[in-house]
Amino acid sequence: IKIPKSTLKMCILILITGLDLQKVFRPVKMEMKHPSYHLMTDEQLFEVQKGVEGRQMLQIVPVLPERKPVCDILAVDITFNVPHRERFIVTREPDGTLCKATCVERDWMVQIYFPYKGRQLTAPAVFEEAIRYLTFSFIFVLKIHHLTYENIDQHGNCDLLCSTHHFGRMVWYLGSKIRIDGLIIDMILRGLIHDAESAVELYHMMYSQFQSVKEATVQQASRIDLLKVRCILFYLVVYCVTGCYEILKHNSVFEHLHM
Amino acid sequence: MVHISLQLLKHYHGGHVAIRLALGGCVNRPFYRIVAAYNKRARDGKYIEQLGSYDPLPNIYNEKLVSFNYDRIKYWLACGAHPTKPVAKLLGLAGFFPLHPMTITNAERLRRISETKSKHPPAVEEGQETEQQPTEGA
Repeated sequence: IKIPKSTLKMCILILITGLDLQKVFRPVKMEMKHPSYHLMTDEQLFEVQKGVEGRQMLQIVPVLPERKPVCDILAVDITFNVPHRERFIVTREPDGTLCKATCVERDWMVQIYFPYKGRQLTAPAVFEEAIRYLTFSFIFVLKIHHLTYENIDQHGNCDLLCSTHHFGRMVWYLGSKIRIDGLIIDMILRGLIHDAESAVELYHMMYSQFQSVKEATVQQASRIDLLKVRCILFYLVVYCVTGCYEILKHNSVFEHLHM
Repeated sequence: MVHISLQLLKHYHGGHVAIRLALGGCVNRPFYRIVAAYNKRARDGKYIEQLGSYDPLPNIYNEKLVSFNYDRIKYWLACGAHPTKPVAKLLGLAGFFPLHPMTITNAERLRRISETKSKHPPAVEEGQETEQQPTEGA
């Protein structure tokens, strides 16, 4: 799933990510360097952190597009200058069919002959479970990205990724799967109503061909109204599924929205 | 003048560069390096360049791993290097060369043997099929 090229959507994503200075500049394990000392007042420090550096640390990192699955065979081309994606990795099966290697085989072969530092031949067992132990600094594979986002959505742990450079990706992914309701409700419960409104706006921009969206633009509904409608719809669906009227009547979400 | 004779002494008379397998590894554990070396050199001796590797023993996924540096192999073949039979067979299996006729012949022979064994109910089970049996049309 690629980054949206439209700058307006990017702006919304960056807005939603938020800038929690405590989290962005939390102590992180880095390589040993001689420390550099700067004398600043508190205000100068705040400005520097808030301004350029904070934003840079939260920049959404583009991820390579997914490879299409290919089922082919294990002679490896170890030419030095060829990028790994274009390398010829070929299998000859006992029947005699000559074919290209599968993605898994490819990765494994590349790791054998051109080993990455710190990477093992087989991925550690942590990644196979539903990722309960979220060490999100290790996320480097698309599949794991998607697994994490879905896990977060299921458990409602959006604040784990809030104010990191993964947040924009997650919002985009959930938006493309049409599953932003959990995110919106989480934001409302935390009191970030403006962020929730922005998320709804982003959703409307992504799916401008839906009829509900068209009607909303025609009526020129205000952002808070759109948000309320979204919440009502979501809880109606939940009520239809569970039959629990309590959800509709007494709900902290509605209290937050002053309804 | 001294320089020229030194260089003349270094070249072999009537020799050529060969692309061949150099054996390495341990007891009961062979491992071949595909190597461009002068013909007259020792099998495991000083080579010009390593062009790949070949592991004859299958791994946990039942695969035999081969690697080739096609760029450099093309260079040496263009310089007039002679690949030996096993290297030519490996390159054929990898798809770089056309399939070696002996590969096809051996495969056909093995297939015939396994067919005769299956026809006459065997005391020995036919676990004899190797991993390399190309179809006859290939």
